Amino acid sequence: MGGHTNSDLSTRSRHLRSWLIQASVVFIAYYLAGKLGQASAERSSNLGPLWPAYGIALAALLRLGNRMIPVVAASAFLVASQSPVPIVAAAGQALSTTFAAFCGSYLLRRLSFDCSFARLRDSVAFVTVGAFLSPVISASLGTAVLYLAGIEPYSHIMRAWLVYWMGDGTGVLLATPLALSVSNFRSQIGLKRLPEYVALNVLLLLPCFAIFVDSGLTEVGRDSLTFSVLPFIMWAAIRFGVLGTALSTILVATVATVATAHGEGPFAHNETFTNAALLDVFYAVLSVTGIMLAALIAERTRAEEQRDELFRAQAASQAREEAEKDAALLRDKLAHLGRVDMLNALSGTLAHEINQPLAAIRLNTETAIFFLAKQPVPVDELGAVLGDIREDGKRAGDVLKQARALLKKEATSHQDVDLNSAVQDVARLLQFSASRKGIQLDIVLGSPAKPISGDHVQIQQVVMNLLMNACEAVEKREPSLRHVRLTTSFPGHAAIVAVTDTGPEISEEAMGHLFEPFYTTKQGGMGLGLAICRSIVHAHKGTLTAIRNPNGGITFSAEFPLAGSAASENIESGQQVHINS
Amino acid sequence: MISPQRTEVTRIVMGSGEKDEPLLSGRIVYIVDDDPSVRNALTRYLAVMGMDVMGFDSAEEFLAQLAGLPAGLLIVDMQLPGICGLQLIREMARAGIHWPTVVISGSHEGHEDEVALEVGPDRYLRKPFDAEALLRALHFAGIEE
Repeated sequence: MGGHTNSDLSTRSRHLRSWLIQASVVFIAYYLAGKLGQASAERSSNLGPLWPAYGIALAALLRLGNRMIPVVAASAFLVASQSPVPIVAAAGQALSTTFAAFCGSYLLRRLSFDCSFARLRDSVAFVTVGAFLSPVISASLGTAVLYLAGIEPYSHIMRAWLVYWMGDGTGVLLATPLALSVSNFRSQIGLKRLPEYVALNVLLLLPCFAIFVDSGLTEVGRDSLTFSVLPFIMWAAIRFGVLGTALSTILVATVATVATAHGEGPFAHNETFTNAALLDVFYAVLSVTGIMLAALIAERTRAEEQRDELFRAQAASQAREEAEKDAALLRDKLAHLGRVDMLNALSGTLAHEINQPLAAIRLNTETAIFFLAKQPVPVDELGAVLGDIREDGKRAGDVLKQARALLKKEATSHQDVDLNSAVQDVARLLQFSASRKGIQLDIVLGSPAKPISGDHVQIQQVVMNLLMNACEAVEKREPSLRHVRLTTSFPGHAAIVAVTDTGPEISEEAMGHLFEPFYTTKQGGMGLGLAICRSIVHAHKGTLTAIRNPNGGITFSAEFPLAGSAASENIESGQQVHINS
Repeated sequence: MISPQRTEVTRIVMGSGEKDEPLLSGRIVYIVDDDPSVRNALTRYLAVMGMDVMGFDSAEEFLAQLAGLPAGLLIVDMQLPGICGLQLIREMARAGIHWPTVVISGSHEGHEDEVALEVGPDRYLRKPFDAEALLRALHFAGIEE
């Protein structure tokens, strides 16, 4: 490796820039949350009943990863050092906070916690591990630091631990969901529903004031009113997700904290520690209820969306299948029509091909009867006659069999088709009418590596159509120009049948219309033959092309993929009919 | 091509009776048909019926040998490669040869009926035809001569 390229450098500087931005946001957010926590803290020990900074630390590590560890540690140290604790204790507190947040985020990630709270299990993991378990670590280490620093006497150690634990826990419950979902504002609240959300919070303030502000109206039972804010939190959870419930819970928490600080409300009756503990429980109930409900709703919404999506996909695939079936049916019908049309044109030839052996059979039968009447019966001659009858009967039967095969009205089936034998069958049927019209019909067969996968009858139909067209193109030419040549070749993974005629010159314009349905230069023709041929070839994943020969006439080439080649996979019976392509 | 074998006919089993026998028996019949099955069956049948038969698989071949052939009856197929049956008859007429002729055809696509009028409807046979009808047609053709 010979050093960094420019793009390496620019990628690195981009990474550095994004880290700096994230670090600044985390640092400032933690600092502000820390200051907010200190506002309600016991001045001596930097211990508050609500410590949102810990929630910010956990959110930062969950969302942005371990590269935020130094940022969290630095900001935590700054906040702690601005409290009355000694600098060593501040460092210890910062380290214990960072370590606990790291443990919490690590465990949550192991539990595949999703920051969007999209599933109930996310919320359960968050509440248990994030809000209850990880503060056990920060509280234990933090209290130990305070004790060792001589700030908390041993007699108060349990109480200090509880305040530490509850402060960090409620900090997580209140700040982390907000920090994690604030970027989802548009999907969870959005400008359109913002008025409803504002109205919700205005209404929420009514019970807040009833509970926490002494208006003189409701002197009795104010305590029991405490949980009347719950329906609003649920409203927020149902309609506005985790972000909505987090913001509304914080609104209630703010009112409650300020009121309690001023000695108002149900949490102001007791000594400071009890008040703080009761407040924390209150926040926790609101927050946990909201987060769980929001996750349930999100889960249900997602399930409904998935179900609808599934239904839509099913309906769409059903519709597509039906359309494909219809198209296949239409193509088969058209192909059959084309064969009927072709056989109509061939009926004279067919009749002739059957009448010849029949004529021979009848004459031979009379001869045989005559021989039988002779005494003695000339056994050898009679045997020869009967042998001829058998041969001619077989010949007539073969002609009918071929004709019947072409008239088959079955849906497309896919079997292995030997292009050469298909060509030979067709050529046998056409040879007579060609020679009768003085047309020289040359058949040159290549040797195939593999068969084609497709419909035998339809492939025969294509060959026959091309041959009949070629014969028609040359039959009015002078005898030396009545020449039709059919070749099969098998280059690579393809099988090509090409039919060249020495017909008259074709105009560029006529070439352009060649494959259009109902375009015909013949009398009595429907003009569907080539259009049907092309649709058949396309249904076999092949191509049908026509080029003008330098000396007049056209060469048609039908190219099919060989069976087993990539192109022949998935030959669909339901392909669009390419009549117009 | 040439089938010179001659079978003595002692009895004709056809319903049309004994009258045909002296007329047709021993006469030379030329067959022009490109289909070997039909040509062979015709040759054998007529030979069995007591006629001398010669077969040709094209009008061109027949015309090439025509000058050296003794007069006889002609059975010609309509659909021949190259010169067709009708052209052959016209060719012979132009050369002043008017042998009694029966036309046979395996295809019936309309214009064959013109031929029927030209050679006479009783001398035009559609394949597959009755052996008896063939004998009758040959008989009438022979009488007219």
